[in-house]
Amino acid sequence: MSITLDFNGKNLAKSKTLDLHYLPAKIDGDGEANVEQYFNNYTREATDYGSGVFTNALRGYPLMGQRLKVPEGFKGLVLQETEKPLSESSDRQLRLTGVFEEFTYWNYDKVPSNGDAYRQALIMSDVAQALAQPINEQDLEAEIARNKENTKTSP
Amino acid sequence: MSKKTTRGSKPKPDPDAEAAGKKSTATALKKVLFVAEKALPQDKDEQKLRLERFFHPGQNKEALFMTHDNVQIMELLEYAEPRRSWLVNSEVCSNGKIYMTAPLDPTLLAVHHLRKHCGQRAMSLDNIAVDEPSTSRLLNEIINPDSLKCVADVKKSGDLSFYKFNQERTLAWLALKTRQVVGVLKEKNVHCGHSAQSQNFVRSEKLAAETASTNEMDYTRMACDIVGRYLDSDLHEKLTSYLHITSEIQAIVEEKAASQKRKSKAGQEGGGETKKIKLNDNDASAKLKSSGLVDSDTDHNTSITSPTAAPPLKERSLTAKEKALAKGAKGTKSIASFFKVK
Amino acid sequence: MSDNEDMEIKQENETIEDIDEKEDKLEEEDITETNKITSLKTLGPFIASKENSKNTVYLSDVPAVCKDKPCMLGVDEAGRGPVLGPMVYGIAYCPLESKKALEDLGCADSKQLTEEKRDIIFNDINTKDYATSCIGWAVEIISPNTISTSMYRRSKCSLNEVSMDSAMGLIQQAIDAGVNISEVYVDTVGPPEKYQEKLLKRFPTFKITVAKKADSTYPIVSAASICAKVTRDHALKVWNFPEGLVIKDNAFGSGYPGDPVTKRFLAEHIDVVFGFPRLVRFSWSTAENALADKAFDMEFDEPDTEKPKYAGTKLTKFFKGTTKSGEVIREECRFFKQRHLANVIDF
Repeated sequence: MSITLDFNGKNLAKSKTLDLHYLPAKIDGDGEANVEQYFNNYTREATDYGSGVFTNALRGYPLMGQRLKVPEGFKGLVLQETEKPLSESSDRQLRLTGVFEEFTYWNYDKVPSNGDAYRQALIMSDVAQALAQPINEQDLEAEIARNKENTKTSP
Repeated sequence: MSKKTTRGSKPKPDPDAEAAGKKSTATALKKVLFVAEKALPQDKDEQKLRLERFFHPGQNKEALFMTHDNVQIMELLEYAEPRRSWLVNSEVCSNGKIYMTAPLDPTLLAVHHLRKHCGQRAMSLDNIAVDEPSTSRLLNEIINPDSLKCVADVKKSGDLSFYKFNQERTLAWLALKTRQVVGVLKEKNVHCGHSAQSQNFVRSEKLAAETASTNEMDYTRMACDIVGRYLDSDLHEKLTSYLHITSEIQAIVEEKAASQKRKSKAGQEGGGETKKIKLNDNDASAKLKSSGLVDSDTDHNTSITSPTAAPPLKERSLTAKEKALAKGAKGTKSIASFFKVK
Repeated sequence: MSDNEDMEIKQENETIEDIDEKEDKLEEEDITETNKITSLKTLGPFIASKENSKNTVYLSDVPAVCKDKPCMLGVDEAGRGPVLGPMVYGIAYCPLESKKALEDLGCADSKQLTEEKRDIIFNDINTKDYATSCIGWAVEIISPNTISTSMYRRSKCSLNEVSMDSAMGLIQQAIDAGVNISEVYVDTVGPPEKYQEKLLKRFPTFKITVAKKADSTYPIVSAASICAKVTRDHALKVWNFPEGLVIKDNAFGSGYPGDPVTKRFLAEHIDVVFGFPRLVRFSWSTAENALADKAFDMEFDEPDTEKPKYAGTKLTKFFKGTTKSGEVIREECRFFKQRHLANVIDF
């Protein structure tokens, strides 16, 4: 089974930019929403908490947000599957809905900061980079020799 | 997908579905991805990205990886905070995950197969796991055979190469990988200790000083755990002993003993139980201060928490604080009593 | 008030040559009209010009006599119970010796007064010389959005706290505007003792009386009550929905959960994602219940009920779990787990 992300370079270059909000709530539903009138209309800059901090509310719950860039080296994509896979093993296609470079990150009653799990999770990208970095052959031979030496000297 | 979507929601007009007549819109769920720009098809590139399943030794089952044109493989990770969802333009998406690509050295995935099949005898890659298509694909189409010399002895016979797993080389190779990870953990100031504060990702100064001596071991332990999640569990254990990592349980027991000592000492000075409780309260407020309100780097403006906002993740200390607040509010009428017409 | 007097003087002395100037004046008056409440008529436009998702404070001009003579100050609120619309806090003050003016206005138990009577008294307070010369007032319109977001904070802020903060804020503003306060009378629906204690702590030099039904006992509280109530009623009348809803005559009913008009309004204006327009107080159980059946389930962090997620490494971590088939479950490494990161198995 494989899943194809059904777009080539040209599709990607021509795709539209989407407006995304990352909400701090589990919402049990999908579909059209009155985002403009019921939400975007109420976004206000909250200068009390520093520049670029926004406030809004979702069902009465206070939100504090910030415009964030998609992490460096990445592009934000939104994909959509139009057909239900016939079975677990059948091939699937995902269509490109659009792309984004920025999005609004919202916390529930908490100013966005480096303490947020989201920002901490992005460190994984650097960790993976370090782990994927190839080992140079000389270093490897040196490490093998060093280890041999160590196991000899210690009983 | 929830039953609720059929209850009150307006049906989603999917332009494609409209064009194609009646299609199920129920599965037309959106997913948000962060994909490495390097991996994306460029302007005239007709190749498409694929998600494929390969055996993930740390998961002990198949997981999804992103491939491009057989030359690139990346791990696909999901960021899944428990309570998140997306608004995309004028739609709500219940799937609040972010799927992101992470660079991966596919040699890590090959190690499992080499150990399994080439532990005793050298084999050519096209003879390994011929009945497992995804393994065959990984070893013959994705992996650069050259990279396997870090983890195997390679014997050449004419055009053919034969590989025999070499544990000694593999452990040395993994140890060097671990050190590379230690480097980035330090650089990013990741808290690697096992105290409660690590959950808050940030260190109070007091805590930083206390743990300075054990930091090196904490970094190595966490790095080894990160590397270990790409290994069979027995190989992970071998790497742990190769790196002389002390048991975490011992470190915790020692730390607890040390803190008990501190507490009892303070208890003696103040004399009696009340002092002890007070000390704990102080601890709690210190924790509260340190928890998430302080940034490890960048400017302080971004870390200001709104006045009555709670710290990012809850600790016992806050519950205590709230209890205190509740106590203070005792005697005030419950909100329910105001709902009546007066 | 003083502006009106100026106007009248101008009009009396008006000459032909002054017409141009007068027109300029009138234009200015139109612009400034919404920033000043000078009568019942100007109350609505003032409220309508403000953002209704935020709180709005209005202070009348302070009569000169209130800066010299010791004053009494009454505090009351309107619209605490309803599930929709703002809650309004009001204060009114006048010199201790000006009790007569309050009686002349007809400031009695505001609950006994009809809406028309309250409107008349409010207009008199702002237009009649005998009132404007000695009575000042102020209101804070606490938006339903603010009420919801306060009550739904991570560390909850009760409606009582919101109320006391508003009351004390208004008293402080009166002090800052130069009112010479000596006695404060507060109407409360909660237990008076705590409230009194808190007020005394903040304003130790005042003689403070907190009592139930103070609006029927003390005319100055009644005056405050009238200002608050009239302001709340007008806020609902001029409510403009940023959500784009148009409700004929803004007929939402009283806002009390039992009112059938209010019930119908709530039932008919549910948005499956966002719940209600922000006229509604989401933190009211009536609103919560209405959404429970009709809108998407939504779940936020619940600090009060949530167990601490991580209180140091648990020792149980070192006993490996097994699946039903006896397979050892490998725990995801802490770095990943804490960051909610995992491999993708299903997509």
